[in-house]
Amino acid sequence: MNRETRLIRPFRDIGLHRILDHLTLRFGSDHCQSGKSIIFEQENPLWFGKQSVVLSLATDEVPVDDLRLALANGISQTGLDRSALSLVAIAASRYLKTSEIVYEHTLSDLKKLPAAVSLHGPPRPAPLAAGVHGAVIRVFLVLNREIGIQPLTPWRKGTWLARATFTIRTRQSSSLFRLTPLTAEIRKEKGILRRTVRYLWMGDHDPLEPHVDQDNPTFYVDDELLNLLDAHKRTPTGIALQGQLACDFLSSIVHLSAARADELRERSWEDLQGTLLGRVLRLIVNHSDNRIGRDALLTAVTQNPNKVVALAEAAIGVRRELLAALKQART
Amino acid sequence: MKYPALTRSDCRQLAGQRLKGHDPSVDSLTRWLGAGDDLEMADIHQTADLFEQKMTAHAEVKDRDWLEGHLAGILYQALHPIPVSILDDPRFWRYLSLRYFWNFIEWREAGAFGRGNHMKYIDGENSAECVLTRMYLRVQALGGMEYAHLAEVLPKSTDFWRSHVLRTRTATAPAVTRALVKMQRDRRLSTPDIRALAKALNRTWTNVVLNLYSEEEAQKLIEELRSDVIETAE
Repeated sequence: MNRETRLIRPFRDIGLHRILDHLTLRFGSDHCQSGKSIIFEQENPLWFGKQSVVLSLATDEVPVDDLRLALANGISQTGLDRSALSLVAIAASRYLKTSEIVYEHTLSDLKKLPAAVSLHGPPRPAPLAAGVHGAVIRVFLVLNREIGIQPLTPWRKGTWLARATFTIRTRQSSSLFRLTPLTAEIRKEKGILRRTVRYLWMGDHDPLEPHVDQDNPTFYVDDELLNLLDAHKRTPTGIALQGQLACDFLSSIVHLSAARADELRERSWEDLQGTLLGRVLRLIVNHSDNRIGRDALLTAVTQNPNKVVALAEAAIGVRRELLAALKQART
Repeated sequence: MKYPALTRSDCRQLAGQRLKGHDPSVDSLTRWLGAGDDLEMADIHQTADLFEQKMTAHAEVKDRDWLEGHLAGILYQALHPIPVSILDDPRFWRYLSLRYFWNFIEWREAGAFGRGNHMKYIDGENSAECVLTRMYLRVQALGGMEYAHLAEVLPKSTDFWRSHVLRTRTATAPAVTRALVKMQRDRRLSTPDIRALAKALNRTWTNVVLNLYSEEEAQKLIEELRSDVIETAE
């Protein structure tokens, strides 16, 4: 008999699920909300490690007393002991696989929960010095010890009940993919024919898991074509081709995700924040011409992926670039 | 601090010349980035010499991954004092690969080099593939020098380290990495079973923050997942 254990996540029925949504992070002079990114624009990566990093647990809309009260009420409804829960912040960086707990507060001591907390040390946590690849900071409301096993109830130590994620991107880490020359040696290694122009190699990248934890997919493009594209990247043809390549990439991500319909049905919009698919969907939603709702869009990924691809194409605005390229060719 | 770096195109050019049997000057294409004093390279130079000696002594070893694991601690010890901001830069790893460790990397990945597929092992772009970064990360994933001996205890473990540790979030939780390695050292699972266990572990990460786990808690979790895998297989 075939048997498979499936984890059901997260425990959304617990009222605490959204309790960290209002948190904000300040990195140097920039700040962002949970689920958003800060782009660190400095050319010199060494400056990355000199920025202050401050997590605000309270905001103008949610003063710290309100947060304490909401936590107390929420925890009370779960039946969990406050001492079994902690607020934990973890900083991580993808390239060097570093991860450090930068803040921890047990909620039995709710009255001492601060409005803001500095995360930059000293000593400076290693992930917060990774100036080339950037860092991610996750804040969890988490079980700090194992409690008795009960079905559909968090019990395992480390299980998170709520989380907030902040990504500090650098110029290098902010791209979704990198165009890489498809050389003779790569063709041989991957079994790609000479006449092939493009090949998206996902490696182990899972488009349904957080992007920042994984290596970027590699988008191979014929090396000769890529050299020419580089030389003509500001011409109408070059711009149109770049748009078309972006469409190809987005299309692959949508179809790869659609093929995992069973897993996707278990995910909400929030679950997909920070994933490759989540970033594609956000691109579509942020495009002002698209009036499709988030839930409908998520459903469309599994039921009508071609429509999602069409919406993504519109969001990129490749039509105008294609027309410009052809009009120029005519003249 | 100023540190040496190579662009990817210079790395490709130098590697091409090396593969043709030439001995190009790496320093002539090296750029020093940053400001202040130059990074002290004496320890790295000594480490490279040690690599050469060990490689000569073990030239006939069949399990080249074993020597990679054996030398990983020595490399980690030499590089660990270097600021993270430098280690985070692939251009620095390219310089190390071409300037100091080419012979070892070429020997280690002789098959791929013979097929002309060498760049990913020296260009530092993918830290789980590039030989020097993956060696450094193997020890870091275990928790540093105190546990470096575990880097060499699994025979023929290239795939284990790459697929089940370095490419996954497990690399960020040393106690979990150690528990996984010790389990595989003491009671080795077959390839399909260790893959099933790793898959279950990756799923656990979705719900559970394993960075918080102690040694004992990590061992208990790995045992639990192992039991599930064996039970399912039966």
